Order: sequence, then structure tokens, then C-alpha cells
Amino acid sequence: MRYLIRRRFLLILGLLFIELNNPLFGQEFTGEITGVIKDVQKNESLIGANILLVGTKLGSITDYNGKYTIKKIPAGDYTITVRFVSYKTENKRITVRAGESIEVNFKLNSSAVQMDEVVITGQGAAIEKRKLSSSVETISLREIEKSQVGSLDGLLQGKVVGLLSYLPSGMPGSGARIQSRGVKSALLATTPVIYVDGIRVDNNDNYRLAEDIGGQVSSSLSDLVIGDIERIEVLKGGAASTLYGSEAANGVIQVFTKRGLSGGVVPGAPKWKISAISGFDSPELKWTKEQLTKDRFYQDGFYQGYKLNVVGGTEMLSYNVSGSMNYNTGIITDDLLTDKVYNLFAGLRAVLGDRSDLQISANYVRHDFKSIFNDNMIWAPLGNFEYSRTFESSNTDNPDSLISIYLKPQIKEGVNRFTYSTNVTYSPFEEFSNKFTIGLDYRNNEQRAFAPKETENIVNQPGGFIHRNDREYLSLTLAYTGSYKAPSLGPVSQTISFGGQGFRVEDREFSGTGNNFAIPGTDLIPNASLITADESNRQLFSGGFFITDQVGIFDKVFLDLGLRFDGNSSFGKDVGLQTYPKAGIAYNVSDEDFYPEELKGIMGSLKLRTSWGVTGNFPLPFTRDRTYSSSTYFSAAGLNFENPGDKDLKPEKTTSIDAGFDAGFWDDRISIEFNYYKQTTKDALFSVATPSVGGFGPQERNVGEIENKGIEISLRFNAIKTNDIDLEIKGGLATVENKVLSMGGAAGFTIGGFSFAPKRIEKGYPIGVWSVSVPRVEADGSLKGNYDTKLMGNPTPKYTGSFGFDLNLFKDLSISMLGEYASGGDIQDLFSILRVLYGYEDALKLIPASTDPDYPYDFVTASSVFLEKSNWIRIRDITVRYHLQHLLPNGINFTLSLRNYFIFGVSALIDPEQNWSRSLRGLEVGGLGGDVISTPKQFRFGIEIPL
Amino acid sequence: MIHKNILFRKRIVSALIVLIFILFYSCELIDPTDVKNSTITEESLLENASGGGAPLVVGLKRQLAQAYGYLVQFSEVTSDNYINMDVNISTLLDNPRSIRPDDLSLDGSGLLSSSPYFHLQNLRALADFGLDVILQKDIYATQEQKALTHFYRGMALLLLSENFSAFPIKEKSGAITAKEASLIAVDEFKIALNLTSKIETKADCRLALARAYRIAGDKINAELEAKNLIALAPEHLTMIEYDPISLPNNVSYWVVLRPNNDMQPLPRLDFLDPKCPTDDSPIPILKAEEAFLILAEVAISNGNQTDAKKYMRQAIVLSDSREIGNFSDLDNRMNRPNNPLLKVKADASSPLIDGLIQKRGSGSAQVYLYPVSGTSLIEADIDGLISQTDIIRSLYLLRQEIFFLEGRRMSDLGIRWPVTRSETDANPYYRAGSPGTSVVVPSFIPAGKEMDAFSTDETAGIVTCHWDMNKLIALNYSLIKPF
Repeated sequence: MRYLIRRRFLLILGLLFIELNNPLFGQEFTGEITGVIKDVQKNESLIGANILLVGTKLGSITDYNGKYTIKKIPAGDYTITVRFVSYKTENKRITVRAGESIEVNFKLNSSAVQMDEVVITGQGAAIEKRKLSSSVETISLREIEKSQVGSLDGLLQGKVVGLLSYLPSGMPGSGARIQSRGVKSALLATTPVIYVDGIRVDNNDNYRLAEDIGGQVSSSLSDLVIGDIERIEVLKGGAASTLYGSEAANGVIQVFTKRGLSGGVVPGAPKWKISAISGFDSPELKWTKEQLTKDRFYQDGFYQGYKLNVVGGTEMLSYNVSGSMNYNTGIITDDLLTDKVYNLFAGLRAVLGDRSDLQISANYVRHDFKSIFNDNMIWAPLGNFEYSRTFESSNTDNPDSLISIYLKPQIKEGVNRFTYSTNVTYSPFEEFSNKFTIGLDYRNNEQRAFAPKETENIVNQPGGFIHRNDREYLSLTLAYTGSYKAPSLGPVSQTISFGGQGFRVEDREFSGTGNNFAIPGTDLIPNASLITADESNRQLFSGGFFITDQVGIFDKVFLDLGLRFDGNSSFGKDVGLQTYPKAGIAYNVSDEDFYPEELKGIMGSLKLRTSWGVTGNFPLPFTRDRTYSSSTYFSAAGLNFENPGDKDLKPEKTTSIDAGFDAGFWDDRISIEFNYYKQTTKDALFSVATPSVGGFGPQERNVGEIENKGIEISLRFNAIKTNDIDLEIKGGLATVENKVLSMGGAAGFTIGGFSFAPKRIEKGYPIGVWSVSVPRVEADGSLKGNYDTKLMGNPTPKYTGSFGFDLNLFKDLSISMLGEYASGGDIQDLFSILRVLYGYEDALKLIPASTDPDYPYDFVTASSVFLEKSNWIRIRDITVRYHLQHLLPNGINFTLSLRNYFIFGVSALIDPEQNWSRSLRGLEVGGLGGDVISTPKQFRFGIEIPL
Repeated sequence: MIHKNILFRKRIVSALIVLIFILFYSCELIDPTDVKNSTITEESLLENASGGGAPLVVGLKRQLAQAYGYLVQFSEVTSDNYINMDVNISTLLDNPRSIRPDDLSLDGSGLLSSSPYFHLQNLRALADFGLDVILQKDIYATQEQKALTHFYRGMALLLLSENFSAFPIKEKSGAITAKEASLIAVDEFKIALNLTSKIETKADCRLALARAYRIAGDKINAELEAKNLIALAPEHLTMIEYDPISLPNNVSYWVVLRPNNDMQPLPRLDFLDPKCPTDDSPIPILKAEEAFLILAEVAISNGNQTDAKKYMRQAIVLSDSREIGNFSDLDNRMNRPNNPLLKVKADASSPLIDGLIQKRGSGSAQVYLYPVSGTSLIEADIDGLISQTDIIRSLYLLRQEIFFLEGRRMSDLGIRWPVTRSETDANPYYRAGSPGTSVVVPSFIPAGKEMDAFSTDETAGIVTCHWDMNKLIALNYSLIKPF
């Protein structure tokens, strides 16, 4: 492996060296191209269309008038191509002569079919979607700009069919639970790997030494706030992500940032934009039971956000710089959930010559937020409001004073995050391109969980406590991708891509705890009488290389073959390089001569595709090692056993079969994408008991087998397209059937939940199935207090999807709506169980009556009745935008949006989207409902002024 | 064009030469593949075993504390001493016949698990590892460290023998019976006794020997070692200590600290609760009262009621001499009689007893606390005993009260937990269905959760326990008697 790394370094640095010696703008005999890009139907200028001279780095983007210019083009013959989202790509052959300017205009046809869109994730090289044998989803700039959401996980909500991004609570700092195509591991997180401009970034949560604050945990997804995103590409695992090897079983999300010339920027002139958003967050009180909670716990939060952005430059050197700050007072009384985010972003693109360019992006985030003890914590204020009767007169003479004490323990967290990326591309000749990527993601967070002295009785800690946890995460990424387009052999074209990628992760945590403060008014550790510290360090290296071959036949059929080899420092010492093969075929049937003309009127385009591939999921660092613990006991260190170790530990391997079609109907006004997928994870890591008699605990071993299968359908429909009205309707449906196929001889085990209804891994059942007590109906139809223990329910919804529309009226007004839904899953209603414990009538009546007075049912013997269907339909977002043209030279944009305001078809007892208590280890499957602070309803009003 | 190509090639060649030179000298700088596990790996431990005796003994002591904490917590719930009010402790423990090898509180392995079986086996295995590896490699190991390692191995086997009917004690072999294991514990205590030079450790070994002989059914040696202990240290007391930072007392957490009222005592025993109110409260594990109670039981077995009563009185005297504390129990408890005027009947036909219920909750005065031993019986109660049944009943009531919250009652009731499923699933030499893998519940134990059921008649001021379990023990003594 070291040998390979050195070889790759050699190549990268060598090529960089050569390129930097190249004169940058040394073309002596050049010409230029200008033109206008318009919509063919409406004859309107298109703003932000991409123009590129194929095989070079030269290109441009249309401005507000649809105009573009490409200067300093070496004389010669070129293919010029124009791409724009929701339009068909057009190409023209042109000849550029020295000292001349030629005009090349285009008129583009709109299309709901996205076949010409170019994606780069997962293929090694940039490729049109029509050539792909598996689906790659994209979220376009247009969709991103419409959203008022700050972080990436919020942005993903409802955008990609088959990708779930559910926020577990309305607490700042808690990232979404992201799943694509089901749950593929019984122990590891479901979060896809995330890249920003080619750099692998931190996507972890539930830090090892962080204070247990209830059910919610901090997540690095919440501060993945990227100033200016141009495009997001999403691979939902399967063959599409094979080239990402041992980390890609949960899919890959690639974020590409803006580097200047996009979105209608006139080359040469800096374009400033200033925007301000203000609004309110209102608590979702649909599931709040007690009036006191509504009156004393919640408040309406005030939000304000500001952003300044400048873009500009020339075709040769362009930039995009922005700064923003957002502040939210939060929805809990006394501003206990404040959330501040500061973001600085700079993107730069320099053309180093007609064969090479350099792209740099740097993003800094400062995130300060507060949270409170929550969910499953005994002193969590919400639980004491909602079920413990703590503030009722029977328990206290002075509820006001007690409430103020319960609201005192709180958590402050501050995050500094810096992400940097350099990408250099170099094409020594038109057929051969190279891309080198180097960069880092550095994230440092400090969590301070503080219970002041006056709370000592409620937190059961004399004198209170402070717990500080510092986590430092550094991920370094180094990658090279080469692509060679071989000369065509008759109808056969061939593109070979190859490359390597390595990343190293340093994940260090240090915590300090101070117990028993002598006096109130301090939260410093040295002021406590008892001080302890802890530390946990992890390191990981992963490296691999790949080769793919894409063969085109008559430019209609595309064969796709690939192979990746991976090494990883989390693999056992007896495990060598892992291989990940893939193969696929795409067939553009509608391009065939025999495709009937009469059918073209109905179904204008049709692509069939199928693929097979293997991806992986590597174990946690150092799980392979046999280790011993050294634990403190009255200031002395005591030895014990820790981890048994496994020299054969290797990644979980998921084999996927995808099949589907992309079709365009009615002159491509309707597009339908259909996928069937079946993913089988072998060598799944299960927690396998070792004989207790040996003294060691369980070991994660590769013994299990898990299957996920289902379909995905997405639809786009350009329903109305006239000069004044433009209406696009979209929707999607994804299904997933999740099942543990084999336990590999290991016993079932618990991954979360509670003793009376644990969430289990059991053969033949979905991951996280509940083991519950079901009241037994006797032969005479009565219930006599008997019950049977059964495995029931599924925390993963079987049906999910989204729906929405984009309506543009008279050019300046647009209305968009996005809804999401889920069905076929279950959620355990722990909220009602807790209310049963404290004798609330509404909860007690949920328990069935037994005819035998000696054997009444309780929530233990009838735990199945607390499994609820987690069906819901949520209008995630409604946004109205208006462009007021005349007030200022470039007009003003007004935006009004409502987020999470409407929800239908849900249980009256608990919020089905939330998750009350986190599962064990890395995996989080959801499905536990409790008294969670629900995601708030958000109202936003924004003004954007282009200067 | 030709000129350009030559220039290009020259650049490539010069760049490659420079790069090869740089890479040759900088490989240490740019090698990203090396990772280091900074915890204690097997390699690092074995390379640095010298001086390992000290952390081994601390580790054993700590592990005994951890194992004992879980043993006390769950066995008290399984017995009639405590009722489980919430759901965080397995709800099946209160109904002993429903206890399964995969019980959610008792099963599970791993250092974070709550399984008493795992933690006792972990203690035993750690002692084995210490004797076979660490102490062999540690050139500085002392006689006392060796003595303690044998002692802790003996304690693991003793506690396993008291609470499980059969279990394996080494890898790649099947189960042995509790009696066989207790005799191995005897051997360990004897080795420790010979190695140690400390009186405290000698006393621990003497009492542990008496206790192990009792479980093994060896009346003569049990009597001998009990008398040896009384001769050596008549007020001997060893308590398991809890470090509030690294290993807090988990029992206090469940009986006092959690406002969910998880563990509530039988009203008959209300006056003894909470024995360990804070997270650094110690819990007794070996105390001289036991020697007197073993001698009383031997005397009963010998038909010598006079001696039996004498030893029971001595146990009461010693118990009464132990420290008494105070505690402000301000939490309002669920489903628990809370009026000092209430009188308690041990069962429907028993006399009313005063003073067993203490007032708790907000505004209440401090309650008494018996951190070592406490009993409601006085010497006069023992004097008045006539029938063998009454003597046995009182002996087991004494044991119940004096060993309250010390994890002894379940064993006294003759209940034995099953070995966990984690063991039988993972151990090819000891599969499910082998001896020791089912719960053992004597036939006289009432059905369901009845054992610790009670009714409260606030008007009459009477709390009636449904069953006097000590009476049931006395009536069915042949089923559980040690000798």
C-alpha cells in the first residue's frame, strides 16, 4: 500500500510541476466567440447556461441577458456545447480564426428528461446521464436557491427519492438521520459518506465522550453549512458507488461549490448581492399534552440571517466570495435554544492554460448553539412538564421556582470548522484528462454541559457539575482520477478511467468533568472540588485505486465495467486488499433507427439500464485489536479485559443489483425514472458474544447477512409551459423491504429500546424489530391477562416519497411546494407509557382490560399496544418568490416561506418523524417516540438585493 | 510545434528527476498509512507485564465491586426484598419462574453490561489471567498480591455458587455444579490464607471459607471456619467500596437516586431502606454476623436449639452494635406505605408489628439508616422461640434483615438464576439445555409476582404481606437447607 501511495504522489506532483511551468496565457493567435442562448418556445434569454469548448478548459456562462463570450481561444476547430438544467443539451461544430470574433447562438428545447446532464460522482470521469447504467441523482442550483435551509441535511429533505433525511428533534446541533435504500448494517451508522469539492468531510455524531444529555446527540451534519452550493450529486449506494469502495454502502453525497461564473454573472464585473431574512419559529404543539408546557416551556423564536456575496472575474479567473450570519433565539423559554451560525466561503477558479485549470474552495463555519437536557433524561424539563407531574401542586408548593431550577442545566456547544479543497485538472491532449484533489476538513467542537450548584437536587450531584468535551477531527483527502478516451473502433468508443484515493482521519476527544462546586455562579472546572479527565483517540487510513472501462456502441449502448481495490487500517491484520467489482449496461432504445416514429410522439426517449456492483462499509477503527482496559478505582489504576479482537475483521460487503428505465413522454414534458434494486449485505458486522467464561465481552464479527430491496419511481411533469405560466409537478415513491437473512449462527441481540420492548436484530425480521408482549385472546374471546412475546413492527418506513410543484407566473412570481410522506413503518409510543406510569387517564385507557382481576394488563404485558403506525404526510416547504423589477437597477427579490407548517395523517399521540432515544453504537434506526421537542414550524421573509 | 514538444519532454524529465529525489527523502513525511492504537493492546501489555501485579489487584477489587453491585441489584428484585416499579430493570425478575437465560437485565456480556453472571465470570477469568500470565511475568509480584488474586478467584466462584446451580469455570469445558465450584473456592481461600500476612485478609478468608463450606453442605468445616473467624475477628466487617467518579454505587442509584421509584422494598423491610443512600456508599460483603448465623444453622441441623438461639442472640447483639445513620428521604414514593402509624403483618395470620414503616417524602424528618446491619428482632424474641419451625423462620428473618440489600436473599430462598444465553450461544462446550441453564425456583415459592405482594388498608392502619416467606422457608426447609 505504501508503495502505491508513493507512486501516486509521484504522479500527482510530477504533473503539477509540469503544469505550473506552463505559460498561463501564452496563446499568440487567438479568436473569440460570443452569442445568445434562448428558450426555443418562449424566445426568452436563458440566464446561467453553461457553454464549453469540448476538450478544453475554455467556457463561459450566460448573463442576465442570455449573452456569453469566450475569449482568447486558440485558432482551430471545436465542438461547442451548451447545457442548462431542464433543457436539452445542444452541440455545434465551429471554427475559430485568429483575430476574429464569431457569433454562435443557440435555442434550447426544454425537457423534463435530464438525460444530457453531466455527473461526475462515481464514474471516474464526467459523463452524461444517458450513458449511466445506474442512477445518479442531482440537486440543481435552482432547487438549492429556492431553499431557505442552511445545512446540508435540511437541504436533502424530500429532494431525492429513496433518500431519507429526518431530523430527530427541533434542537439545534442535532443532525438528520440519513438513510438511503434501507438499513444495511446492524451496527454501523446509515449516514452516507459526504464529499465537498472532492474532500471527504466529517459526517459523524454521538461523540464518544460527550455528555449524555438524553436522547439527542450532536452531529457534524448540523454544521455542514456550505456557503454557496452549485450542485449536489447523490448516489444511493449500489453499483453506482462501487468506486468509493469500503465506505460507500450507504451511498455517497458530493457537494460542488460555486467558483464564480455561474448564475448569470457578467464576466469582468464583480456582482454584489446582499440578502436579509427574518422570521419566526413556532413550536409544533400538536403532541403537547399539558397546558403548562405550552405556557411555560415553549416560546416563539425569532430568526434573522444576513448574507453578502460577490462573484466576478473573467473566463480565466473567477471568484465567488460570501459571508453570512444567522441567529435564532429558539423555541424554548428564556432563549434556551439559541443557535448562531457564521459562515465564510471563498471559491476560485483559474484557467492555467487551455489544458488546465485550478479550483480552490475554502469554507469556514462557526456554530454556537445551546441545548437542554432532553428526552430520556430524568431531569429533562420537558419530561417533567409532560408526564412526571413534577410541577403539580401535589408535588411542590412553589412550581415557578421549581420550573426555573429545572431549566437551569444546559449545554453550550461551539464548533469551528474549516474545509479546504484544491482541484487541479490537466489534459495534456483532448482525450486524456487528469484531476488531482487535495484538501482537508478540520472540525473542532467544545461541548459544555453544566448543572449549576442550585440544581444539585434534581441532577443528583452534590454541588452540581460541569462536563466539557473537546473533539478534534481532521480528515485529509488525496485523490487522483485520470480518464482516457480511446480512439473509436468503428461504432465502438471507449473511455478508460483510473485513479486512486486515500484519506486519513484523526479523531481525538478529550473531556474534563468538575463535580461539586463550592459556590454558585461559576462553570469553570478548576472551581469544582472533584476533577476528572478522559481521552479517546482514533486514527484511520483508507486507500484504494480503481479502473473503469466504459464502452459505447453506436453511441446507444454503453457497457460499464469497473474494479476497485481497497486497504484500510480498520481491517484485521490477516485481511488484505478488498476488491469491489461492478458491471452495468445502459441502452438508449429510443435512439435506435427501428424505434417507431409513432411511438416517439408518445414516449420520445427511453433508456433501459441494469447494473451490478459491490460496495463496502468498514468497521470502526481498532475494533480488530485485542485490548485491555485500565480503569480508575480510588485513584489507582485497575486492569481488566476490554475487546476480544478479530484478526479477520473486514468490511461489510453489499452486493447490489439495479434495473430500471428513464423515459420521456409527450415531447419530453413528462419524465419517469424507475429503479428496482436488491442489495444483499454479506459479512455484516454483528455483535457476537464470546464465552463469558473467557472474561471478554462481545466482538464485532463479519457473520450476518442483510437484504434490502424495493423500487423507486420519480416523476417530473412540465404541466404548463406558456409565456406567462410555467408549472412543473414532481413526485416520487420509494419502497424498501428490509430483512436480516442470516445471523451466521450468532444469537439475536438488542440494538436499542427498553427492557419491556427492545429493538432487536433477529433472523427473518427487519432491523430493529420490536420484541413485545401481545395480549392473548382466549378461546372464548376474552382477555385474561395472558400474553405472548412476539417480534413485531419495523422502524423503517416501507413507503416514502415526496411531491410538489414549481409554478412560475408572469416571469417574476414563483410559488413552489414540497411535501414528504412516509408509511408502512412503526414507532413505539414511549410517551404514553411514561404517562401510564404517572397515572394519566388518557394513557391508562390505552391498556386493554383483563377479565381476570388478579391478572390485569400493564404496559409490560401489553407492550404491543404502544406500537403505533408512523404514517405521515408533511408539507415540508411552501415558498413564494417575487422579483420586483423597477425599484432598483437590478430589481429586488422577495421570498416568503413556510416550513413544516402542515402535517396530516399522523398519530394523535406522538410525532412520528422524531426519535426520542438513540439506539446503541453507531446505528440509528429511529422508531422511538417520546416527548421530543418537535421540529418547529418556520416562517421566513427574505429580501435579496443584487447590486 | 516540434519545438514545443521538445520543451515539454524536457520539462517532464526535469520534473521527474526532482520529484524522485524529493520522494526518496520525504517518504516519512508523506506516509499517511501508519495508525497507532493508543489503548492497551495485547502486545503492549505482555511486553510491559513487569509491575503488573499492582494494577491486577486493583482491577480485581474493582471488578468484584462491579459484579457485586449488579448481583445485589438484580437478586434483590428477584427475591421478596424489593419490588420493581419501573421498566428499566427487567420486569420479569419479579416473577422468578419467568426468568429466562436471555433476560434483558441478566444477560448480555461486555464491560458495560449489567449481567451479574458475566461480571462474576469476568472476575474469575481476570484472576486466572493474573495467576497464569501477569504474576508469572511480573518479577516484582508480592506474596500479598498472589494471595489477593487467589482470594478474588475464590470470591467469584463463591458468588457464582450461591446464585447459579451449575456453570463452566474454564474455557473449552463444560459446567460443574455449584457445590463443586464452592469446593474450588475453598481451595482458593486456603491458598490465600497461607500466602497472606494481613489479619484483615485472613479474616476475610476464614469467613469466606465458612460461607463456601455452607454452600458446599460441609457442616463440620463450616462450623470450624465460623468459629475460627469469631476467634480471629469477632466483629469483622469488609465492605465493598464504590468510587463515585469511576464506579458509583449502582444500587443506590436504583433504590434512592432515580426519581422513577424503580426499586421499592417490601413494607416488612421498609425500616431498613435505603441501606446505601449515596453513590459512594459501601455495601457489606463479609461480616462477622454471618459466622453466628452459620453456627446457628449448624446447631439447628444438629438439633441443638439452645446453641441455635444463643448464636442468633449473638448475631442480634453484633448487629445492634453496628453504626446507625440518618437520611433525609424526601422523594415521594410510588405504591409504598408511607405512614409510621401503619402496622405490618408478615402474612394474614401473623401478628401486627409496629415501627416498620417510616415517613418519607417532602417535609418528612430524617429516617434511620443501617449501613451495616439492622434487625427488627430483639434478644427476647429469640428467647421466646419454641418450635423448630419458629426458630428456622426467625433465623431466616434474621438473615433477611441483616443481609438486606447484600444480594443474599434470593439464594436463601433457594432460587438460582439461569446461566445467560450469551454464554450458551457462544460456548460450544456448554450449550442451552445443559445443567444450570434454567432458572431454579423451589416449589413453595408463590406463583407470579405474589412473593412480594401486599395489601394496604389505610382505614384499619394495616399493611398485610400476602406471604411470610420466612414461614414458607421454615415449612419447606428440607428443600433448601444447606445441611
